Amino acid sequence: MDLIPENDGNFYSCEPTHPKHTTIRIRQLSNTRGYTRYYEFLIGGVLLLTLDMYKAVNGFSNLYWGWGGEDDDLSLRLIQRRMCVVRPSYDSATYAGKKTPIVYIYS
Amino acid sequence: MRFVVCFVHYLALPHPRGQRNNARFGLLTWATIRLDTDGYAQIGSMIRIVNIRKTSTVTHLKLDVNGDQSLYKPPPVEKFQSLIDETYYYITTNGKPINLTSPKTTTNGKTINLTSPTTTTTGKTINMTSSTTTTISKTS
Repeated sequence: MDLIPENDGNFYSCEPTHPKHTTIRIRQLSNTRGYTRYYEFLIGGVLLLTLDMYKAVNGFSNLYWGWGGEDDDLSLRLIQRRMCVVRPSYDSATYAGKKTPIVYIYS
Repeated sequence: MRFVVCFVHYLALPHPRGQRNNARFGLLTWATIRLDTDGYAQIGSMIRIVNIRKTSTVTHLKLDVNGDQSLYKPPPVEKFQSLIDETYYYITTNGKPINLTSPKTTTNGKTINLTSPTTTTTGKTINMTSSTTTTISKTS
């Protein structure tokens, strides 16, 4: 785990019809530049979706190794299946952490 | 309700970043094409949930990812039948077919390895009923 939620209003619960991406703004622990908002396409960090949604996109690719790309691959799968990703309010979804993303799946 | 500041601040555990995958851009190019053939459905049967431990905030799943492949079952031969039941005219020089049911010889003394029905450089098509290898030698 390398991303720590900073606001308890950022609920870790699945939306019934859409995947939910909660890591909108990330603050690096080691610098003082404030929060970074990443590209709209990004779903890395923390993504919550049901098992049915996960199966609908056939999960993650098995071909990625090392660091990077697997989250963008999953994002392309969601777009291909026309699944809209929702996000919580801008103020509540703030994180502190290192750069390497982890995706958590809740069913 | 406003939370006390010390409650909403957390510490991040430092860790080294893994090796960067420079091949990821090539994989992303074809991501949507691979959607149905590369993913959970292809490995789901090879994974067993060994243990589930729930806490108030986190559920820990311990998985056996089948490192020794004891759960792996090769797909049935029918899946590959369409791949070998074909004649590849485009790799021949003149495309004149003849039908043979067993390994035959040609007049040019060449050895040809056949893994599927194909034609020879002399214009003969050899139709094999299954994937095989044959030696074709010169006849007098």
